Amino acid sequence: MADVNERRFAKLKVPIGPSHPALEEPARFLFEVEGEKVVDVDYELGFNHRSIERLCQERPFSKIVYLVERICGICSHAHPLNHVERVEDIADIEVPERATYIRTIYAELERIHSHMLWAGIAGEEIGYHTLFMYTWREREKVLDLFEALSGNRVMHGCNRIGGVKWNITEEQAKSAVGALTYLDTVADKITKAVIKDSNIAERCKGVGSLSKEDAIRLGAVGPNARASGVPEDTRVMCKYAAYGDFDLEPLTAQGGDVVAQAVVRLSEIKQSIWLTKELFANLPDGPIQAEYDNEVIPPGRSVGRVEAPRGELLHYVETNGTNFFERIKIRSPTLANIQSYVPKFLGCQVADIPIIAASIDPCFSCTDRMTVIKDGKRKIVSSRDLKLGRV
Amino acid sequence: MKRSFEDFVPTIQADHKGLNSYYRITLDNLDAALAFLKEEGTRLSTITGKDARDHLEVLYHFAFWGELHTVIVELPYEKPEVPTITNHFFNALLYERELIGLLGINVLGIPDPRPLELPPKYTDPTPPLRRV
Repeated sequence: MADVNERRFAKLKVPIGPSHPALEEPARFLFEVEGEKVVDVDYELGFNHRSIERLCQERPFSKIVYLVERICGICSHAHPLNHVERVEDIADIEVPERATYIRTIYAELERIHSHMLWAGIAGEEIGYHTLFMYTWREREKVLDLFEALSGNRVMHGCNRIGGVKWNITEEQAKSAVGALTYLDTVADKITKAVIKDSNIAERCKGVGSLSKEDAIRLGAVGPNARASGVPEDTRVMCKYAAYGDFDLEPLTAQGGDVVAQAVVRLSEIKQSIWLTKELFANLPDGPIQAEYDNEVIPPGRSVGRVEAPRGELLHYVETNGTNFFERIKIRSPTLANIQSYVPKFLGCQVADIPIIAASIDPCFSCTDRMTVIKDGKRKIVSSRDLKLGRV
Repeated sequence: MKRSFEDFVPTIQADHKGLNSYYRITLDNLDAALAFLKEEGTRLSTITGKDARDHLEVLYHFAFWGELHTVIVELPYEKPEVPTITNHFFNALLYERELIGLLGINVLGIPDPRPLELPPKYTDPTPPLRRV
């Protein structure tokens, strides 16, 4: 009789995605498993390809800010921020200081809600539904803050070439700082619930590890790279918008596993809350929109990066002297992070696939409800109401 | 970067603006440029392909702390071919697959030549980002 320890399993191929309950983004993975162990992985992307780069070349430049804002439902500030900064660089537009501060406030609030969303998703993937419910409930406070500042919860419409659309009044700033103080206590609770929980440590320690060498070799960016000890943060390196006025340090961890990813993101929530409070406290007076020739952008090119919640977001913009762009290239952080999936998945257990897939925070849209104001009354509409036409 | 790109790689044209630098080089010098950039410790941020109306262009964007160094090579329409750079920068794989699919540029020696975004049954002979 053969020894159980010497038992060999046949290799099987397990496809997961593009639509799968354990994977909340449209990507397809083909895992080769031996028993419960993943021995090979292949991935396929492009299920949500919308030809935005081509569309950007076929519309007048005044419509492109609106279009790039709709690339992602979560990074709906990072994309237009990078885009307008590129156009301002080409046209040499001096943006008022108050506008750069307001842009930075939105960028940091976006990071807070995105990282809270990640914490909830990660909790759900390991069966910790209480964490999911709690973080998503408190994340609503950030979205309410967006609604109070811009009138919109998801698509803020904040960025304009040469400035911002929405100013911040003193009352708004005061109530926002109050909400941020509350969120600070929430961040402490989430950190305690995740980092100091021995069950989570037992479940997630060493799951989805990525060495520093692999992170550099595979071009990982953002919190995914910082969790492996790569101290790269575009806010610190490029000092765009108002980041040059504040001392920030890249927050890193070691090992790149799910615990390290949580440490980095939860620390960044605290860091962003501190920074947003500082921004409100030091908000300079002055105009929020620069004057410029809005008929045509001079020929030129600009490439630059901003730190989206998921990492380095690169935009390349080239103009040709007309009111159409010659070329717009967008490299989202998830594309840079996709290759780091391979060492994370190899050798893992099948049951770890969902949490590893979620750990790098792949991008998906979460616009499942909206607020309608009709006849002066505020009504929350669910996705089910929308489907049934009850608006 | 500590050393100047132009001093080590034959450059047709170099532009510098703030933290951004652009170097236009010939395809023959691409290997030397990549070896230099690797030695300097840069990271490949992405690759942009462009249809410049009378030729194609490939722009390699390299990040070095806050700086961005862009190496530009021109390709004729008749011979849209570049060698793979995965031997220097392994993370170029996905960006090169994007070049194949969206601009119809052949990447010679690429380990995985499947187009990245387009569906397997995409039959239009004109790649989506060409201006024809």
